[in-house]
Amino acid sequence: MGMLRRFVSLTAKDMRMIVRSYYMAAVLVIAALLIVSIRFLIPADVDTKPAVVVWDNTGTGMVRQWMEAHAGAEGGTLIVVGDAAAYDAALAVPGNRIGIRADGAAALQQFELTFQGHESTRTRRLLAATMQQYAAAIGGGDSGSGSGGGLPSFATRVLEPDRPVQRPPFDQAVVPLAILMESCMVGIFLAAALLYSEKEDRTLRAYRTSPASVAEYLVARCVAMGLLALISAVPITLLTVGLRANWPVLLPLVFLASMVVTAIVMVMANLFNSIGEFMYPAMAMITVLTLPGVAYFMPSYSPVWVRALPSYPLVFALREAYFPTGNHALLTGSVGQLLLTLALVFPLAVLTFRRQLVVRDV
Amino acid sequence: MIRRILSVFRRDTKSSLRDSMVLMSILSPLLLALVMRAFIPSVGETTINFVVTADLGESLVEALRAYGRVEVVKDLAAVEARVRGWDDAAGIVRSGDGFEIILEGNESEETAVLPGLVLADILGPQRVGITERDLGRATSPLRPMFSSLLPIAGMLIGGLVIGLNVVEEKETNVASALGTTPLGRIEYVGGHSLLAIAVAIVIALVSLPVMGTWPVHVGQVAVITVAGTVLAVVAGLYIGGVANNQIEAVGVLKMIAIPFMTVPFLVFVVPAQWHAALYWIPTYWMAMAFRTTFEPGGSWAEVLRLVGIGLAVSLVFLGATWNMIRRRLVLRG
Repeated sequence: MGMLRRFVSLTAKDMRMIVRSYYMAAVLVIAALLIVSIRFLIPADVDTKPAVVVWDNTGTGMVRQWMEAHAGAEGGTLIVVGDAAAYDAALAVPGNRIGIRADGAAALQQFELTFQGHESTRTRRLLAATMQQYAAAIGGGDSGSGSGGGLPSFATRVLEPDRPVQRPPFDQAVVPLAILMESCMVGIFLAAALLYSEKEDRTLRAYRTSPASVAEYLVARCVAMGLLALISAVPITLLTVGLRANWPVLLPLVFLASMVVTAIVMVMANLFNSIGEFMYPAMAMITVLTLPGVAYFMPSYSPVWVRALPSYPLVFALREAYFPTGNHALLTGSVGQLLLTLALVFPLAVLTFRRQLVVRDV
Repeated sequence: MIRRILSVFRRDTKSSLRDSMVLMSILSPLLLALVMRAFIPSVGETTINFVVTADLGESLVEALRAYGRVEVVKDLAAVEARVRGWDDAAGIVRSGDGFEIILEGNESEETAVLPGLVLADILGPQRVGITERDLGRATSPLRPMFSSLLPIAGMLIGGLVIGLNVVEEKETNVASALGTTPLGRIEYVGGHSLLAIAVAIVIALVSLPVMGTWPVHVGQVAVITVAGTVLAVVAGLYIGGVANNQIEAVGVLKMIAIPFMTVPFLVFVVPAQWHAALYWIPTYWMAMAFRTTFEPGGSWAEVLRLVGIGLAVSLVFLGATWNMIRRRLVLRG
């Protein structure tokens, strides 16, 4: 009972300090800015695929027709031109553009692919492979296969055929990312600032004489940051995605993520002497933890070092919480990784904190 | 006056070096630049992920590696487990005399369609000749975006150096002591600004080559960075003026950091017709100026125009809030 009272008292103290400082106001102002940006500034339809410039120089027009019928259906901008000058002019425009020129007297004989220069060898081979199969489907070349009429097909097995696929508009799709970057990481600077402030005020020395343990102090700090994360996440979610999010999953997920981030911060903060020193590694840490956002929009991007970051499964779990498909494995996997990180980091935080209190006598 | 400004600058430098603040403020962006340097090509290399079993045969596995990343796992169950993973990956296994593609069902269009086209390309005949032409633009489109992020972060860090030094002086009552000296407010602000300006310039000029964004138009980058240090000073005055202690400083920083850290991304993501909504943000103009100089054909006239507007917007901000800052930055004797 006494422990619970101490814990509640410590959490309440942290919350009071958050409210008294400008931090609570900052969190709410940023939430408002994010809501306005998501609702009114970020477009619903953003096309990240490269624009394709097509010049059908075969005289048959078959390539142009085929590309218009198929490439358009796959998204991306298709720019069809009729001569060499227009082709070169379209490719001269700076941006992510790829050129496809089809040549042949009576039928398609050759493709010339024009790249910007930064595309990887694999990307180039994938486009070449695609154009070879398009050629087969159109009936080009001298293989005598006639007009194939369709792309090659292999037996395909879908593991989850009944699971709905969620493709939210771009402005709503950024909400999980905003929650990761803002709500889940809300405690990065504040938890450290509270610690340094208590060190300077000698509050921690006084704390040593109290019956409360270091673990209670750290849990209270993590819980306070978790509550602040919810104060940030709830209005952002309500005023962007609305009530359709999976709230019973979303709230505990954000709370837990914020606790884990705070525990990491408490370890890191003990390595530095002041907020001035800590601030810059913390900025680098935020940027690194945000990199899985790229994987969120490009799910094929999954290098091992990005997958090892705790924010990697988290961003996918947040997507599942916002746009549910019934993929429970995604949620349990992410929660498991967060709990594992907490189990590893929290004892480390207790250890480094105890060292600060006892050995360095702060 | 110059002597008094330099005196504040010397004190700031000593204080910041004592707790490694300046060192950390410069080293952290450089570390980040190295991460970015590794990160950008890895994004450009991204195509599709294949998961296969060893019985597919070494030659086919090697052929697939020419198109995407290939993971070889021990059996069908492992392929299915990997396909169900967080990222997009397509399984390819032998099935009878042919092959079977395994998908989870929620993949992007590329991962769903390309494995079949790649298999057909490897196994089937080449129908037409394919030649390649290069426009010689070897710089990744991501590079201008990330390259502008670091110098702009340098401006924020410069502001932070000012802000934290001012807050420290408030907390330790040094500001009150300074009030008894002939030091004026302008000299006080000027002295604090010198270190911030130096930090912002060093970060900008060192982080770009570390990140691999080199060669650049050094003259244009220098002009944008020097003009951007006005932003660093404005940010520092807001932090130092509004906050009375470290916690408040962090709160103010959190609000100020938003335009510094998000606008460099927004100028690339937000369609051009929506850019007018960002015109009121000073960092927008600096991010646009960096974008212009990092992209091919960036002209002096355009860079100067953007920098000029950015400076004007920054000064409007400073002018509109100067009374508030002046009241909060009182040196009391």
